[in-house]
Amino acid sequence: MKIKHTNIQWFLGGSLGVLALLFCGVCTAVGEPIRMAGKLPEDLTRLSLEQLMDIEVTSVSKKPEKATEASAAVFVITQEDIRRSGATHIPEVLRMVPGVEVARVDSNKWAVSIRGFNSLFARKLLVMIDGRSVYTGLFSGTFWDTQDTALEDVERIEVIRGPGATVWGVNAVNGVINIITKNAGNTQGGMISAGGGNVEQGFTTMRYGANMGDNAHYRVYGKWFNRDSFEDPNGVDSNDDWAAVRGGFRMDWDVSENNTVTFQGDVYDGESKGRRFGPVAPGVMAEILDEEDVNGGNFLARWTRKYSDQSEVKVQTYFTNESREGSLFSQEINIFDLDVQHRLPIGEAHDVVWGIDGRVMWDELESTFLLSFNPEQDTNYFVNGFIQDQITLIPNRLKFTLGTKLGYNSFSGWEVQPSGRLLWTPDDKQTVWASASRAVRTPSRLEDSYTLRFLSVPFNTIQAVGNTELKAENLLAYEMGYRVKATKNFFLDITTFFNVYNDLLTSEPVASPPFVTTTQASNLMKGESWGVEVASTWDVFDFWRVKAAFTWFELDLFLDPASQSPRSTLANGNSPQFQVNVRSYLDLPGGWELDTALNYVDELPDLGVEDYVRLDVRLGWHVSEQVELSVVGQNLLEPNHQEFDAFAGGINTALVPRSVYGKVTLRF
Amino acid sequence: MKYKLLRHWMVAFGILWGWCAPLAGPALAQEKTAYAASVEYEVKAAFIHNFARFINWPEDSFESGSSPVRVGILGTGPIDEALLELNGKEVHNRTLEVTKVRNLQNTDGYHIIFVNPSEKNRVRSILRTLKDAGILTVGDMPEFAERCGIINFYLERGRVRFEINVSAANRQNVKISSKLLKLARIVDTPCD
Repeated sequence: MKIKHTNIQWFLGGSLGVLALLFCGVCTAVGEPIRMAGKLPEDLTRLSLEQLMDIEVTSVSKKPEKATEASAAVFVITQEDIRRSGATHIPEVLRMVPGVEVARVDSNKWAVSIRGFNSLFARKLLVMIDGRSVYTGLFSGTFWDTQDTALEDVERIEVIRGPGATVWGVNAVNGVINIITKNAGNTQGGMISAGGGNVEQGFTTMRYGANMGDNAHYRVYGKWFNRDSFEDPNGVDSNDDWAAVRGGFRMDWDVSENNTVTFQGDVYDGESKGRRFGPVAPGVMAEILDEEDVNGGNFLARWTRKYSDQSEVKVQTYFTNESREGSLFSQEINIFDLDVQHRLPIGEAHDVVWGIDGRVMWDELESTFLLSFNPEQDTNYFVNGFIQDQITLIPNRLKFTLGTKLGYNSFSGWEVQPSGRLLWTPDDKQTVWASASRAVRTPSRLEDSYTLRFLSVPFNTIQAVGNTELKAENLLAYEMGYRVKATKNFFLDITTFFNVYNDLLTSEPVASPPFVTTTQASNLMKGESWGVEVASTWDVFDFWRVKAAFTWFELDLFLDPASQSPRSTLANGNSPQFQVNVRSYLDLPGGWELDTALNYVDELPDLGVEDYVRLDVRLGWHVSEQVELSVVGQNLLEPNHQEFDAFAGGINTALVPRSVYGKVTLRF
Repeated sequence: MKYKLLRHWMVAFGILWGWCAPLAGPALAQEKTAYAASVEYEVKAAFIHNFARFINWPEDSFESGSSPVRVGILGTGPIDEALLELNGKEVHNRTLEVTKVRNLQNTDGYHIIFVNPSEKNRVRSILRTLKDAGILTVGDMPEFAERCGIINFYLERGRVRFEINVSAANRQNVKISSKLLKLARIVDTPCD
């Protein structure tokens, strides 16, 4: 069964490649529209009106400008950043964001979090793709192996550190990662990229976009890749090779001047392998070679009715299905979500947004001896309403935003999440902001109902069980930031924060049968964290840009006196104290590009992971408007290094190896 | 810890950078580079250069066959830098001469006047003043063309587009080539 499945992937991937080649032949025969995707000519006045009308301007000016006016710690990763990073997967791109911790656990697993609490199942983060939540409803963490799209069609990734709770959905406790793909009107024509290397054994993405009548555009894409396994610290193969195939579409239709409609959807099928160690039956511990079959799909529809520049109504609905079948557990989760937002100005000074979001999640879980659920089937409901008012106190200078979210969920009942934000723009180049907010992470389906057996040897079994009485983990966050466009060539963004956590999860010993030790999830931990995050962009010359990010993070967790939880619950040292990321984008004559990224990540003392420096280099060549070649080397300084340790989750840790791959991109 | 020295230097550098920059920032910010030169405004300026190629002004608005096309900027905005850089560019046999308009009463001799969004609240009176002056008015704000400005920029799917009020052009005695009209969205608010 498993073997057959892999064959299907190879077959699908292979046919995609053949199709890509055919497509390429057909489309080069068709005309060659002027493409401005790469570099702009220095003197725009030489261009014709038609050429000027083809240049995309929003992504380089409008949106980042908006971000600099936000009263929150926002970082925008642009398409240019993604392309020049040479990254092949979304979490790898996030390394450049200050305050974000990215650690690759093995070939297909990442631990990603913002401002601490990192783990393979980091749970205090909201991840969205085009307005659709993609963190799993099961335990509120994100399975990064199934979050993907054609990276070339991503317009930008907005990372908001800190509680974005007022407007965004639940789970946005420590931050929001919002992946936004391009409007179909901006991905017209064809694109094929393909390549391979020592770790990236082969990958190809193809996309084709065209218009349907005067006012509607669509695109379809397909993507396939196969990645090699890593090695563990003992030099043993980690059995974590990874292959997936996915396809999708997006259609944007301007129904009339004020009405736009978007439809989009994806389907995927993959196999994420791994190696873990754990109990397989009472008294039997064994190594498990894991083959997780993952597949799923989603469909989203969004309608926006614009009344004026300040007023619009947005209605969005989506359905997702995700299924995962492995040796640890199996799940099939369905989510239906309906979201309505209305923005309207009241008088001169008030910009009000309110909305309602309803979600139903129904699931079917399959237990194993290692991880079991009770009940195995469940349906849960979530209803959230929010209202936010941005009050202009002094026009163009001082704004105050007051908002709150009121939500109901099946696990912890009603939750209130208010926030207040002050934004001061003393002039056109400087922004000072401060905020205080409360955010909660509601208990998840897993925490409600699980039994996890860590160890089972004759006469001793250690297990952790869920708790239906759990409260939501909550946070009071105080943040302050300063942004300055100091000169035409230098932009700087500094954020400081102080977070106070209450009711954090612990594992408390409870009475259990003989030869069994049981701990139960409880809310007996508090914590405080603070940190400084700096990001800067420096255009040294118009052909050389340097971007840098610096993170300083401190976390203190304390157990409640009533707690009997083992000290190891205090995961103070799961996050690096310091992180530095410096990237250089250098444009050379003849269409060449040389990009380097240097990344320092401090040690993770509680996990026994040493600090590391990684160097990534990309050499690209725009042979013509249509053809781009590149060679990417990752982790060039060392043969391999360790980034995380997920042994507590029973997962074998693999070392991230040095890798090199080549890539061809064709646009037509 | 493997990278002890590196870590020391980095931390020192980070602290210096994080804490000194806010102090240095405002001082540097005084520098006279008021706006980010971004692609959007360079593109818009290039459009204005192109418009000059496709417009016929009344016979008497040029002193001679080689006298310059005079472009005036009203108000201040992020496009200013890019527009001023058009100075000296050629249009047919003429050159472009770009200046700031200090006084609205003194617009004789201008061929194109760009109205910055900063003038949003007095657009009506500006356009009334410029009425019948044989000047191509270009704006970058909603409702500009509806208020009888001739050409207005807007963004669509991240690209710069422009709309033309033909009736306003007729009123100003400015002739717009069909090529330009074909690429524009036509606004049909009547002007007299």
